[in-house]
Amino acid sequence: MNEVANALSPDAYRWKAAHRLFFTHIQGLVVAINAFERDPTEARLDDVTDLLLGSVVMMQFAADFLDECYDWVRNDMAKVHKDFSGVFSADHTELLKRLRGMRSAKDDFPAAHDRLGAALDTVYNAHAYVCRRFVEEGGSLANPDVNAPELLRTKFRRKALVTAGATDRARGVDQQGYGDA
Amino acid sequence: MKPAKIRLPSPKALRGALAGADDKIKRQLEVLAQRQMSELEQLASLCVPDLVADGVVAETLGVEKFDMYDAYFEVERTSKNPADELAGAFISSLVEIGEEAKRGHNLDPLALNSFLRAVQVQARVLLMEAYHE
Repeated sequence: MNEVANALSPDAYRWKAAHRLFFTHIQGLVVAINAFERDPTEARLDDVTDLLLGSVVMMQFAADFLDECYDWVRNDMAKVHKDFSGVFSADHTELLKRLRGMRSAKDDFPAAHDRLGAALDTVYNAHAYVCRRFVEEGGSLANPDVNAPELLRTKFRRKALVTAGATDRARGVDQQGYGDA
Repeated sequence: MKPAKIRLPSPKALRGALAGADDKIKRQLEVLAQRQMSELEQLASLCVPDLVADGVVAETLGVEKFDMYDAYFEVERTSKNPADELAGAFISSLVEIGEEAKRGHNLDPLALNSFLRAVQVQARVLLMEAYHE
């Protein structure tokens, strides 16, 4: 392949650069969760919530380009692996496990824990929104046959909420139903 | 293979106690923690940390899908000095985003505030947890 074929489009560069910041941010979230587990305070719990809300906008920035430009990015990722997805991120995998550390906060800091649950709702709904912009009701590379935005809004959101102990909000997802995810 | 743009601690390296030692990185975190910035472009004025690469061997995580993902996003890993490595990667990435933002962006003021608040919170968390300030 020649240099031109290998060159990143400006949008793909933004996609990658913002993801790199996102990864440092995920690791910061893990550090903040560790801090809360070691010394649980409402302020430390709110740090985790603020970091989650910041991660939403980092993803928004990553996808801050015209919808039609996503095809280039998607094809570029598909060249790496046909199922390429965030599930391939070691940091994301670690964060999902570490969310379990927030369960105990539900009893000690119920209001702050509910803010955390609301932030998780926002994370998944916002990700679903970005996904819908690009694929409408289509599939992702990893799940080509399902409605990818719906999958994020339902199964993946529910799993994160349950892991973090936000069971009331997880029940809310069940009540809304799973659509065609 | 392309050279990595950032070096991150392996997730396992973050599980233990963190002990940052790089004063320049610490000072950059203090700047970020003291006052929330108002524009993404301001992030470009931070100093990119010059972490010594001597003795740091780029590692892979040993799981094929994780290593593919890292390679795509041009990330390399290390299990050494996780505090300075994470803080250094955080600041380098902020500079990259500050430069990128000069091309323009469509974040509304509320979203921009969430972004920059999270940057400030992360700097404070790293100062407390990795530099014990």
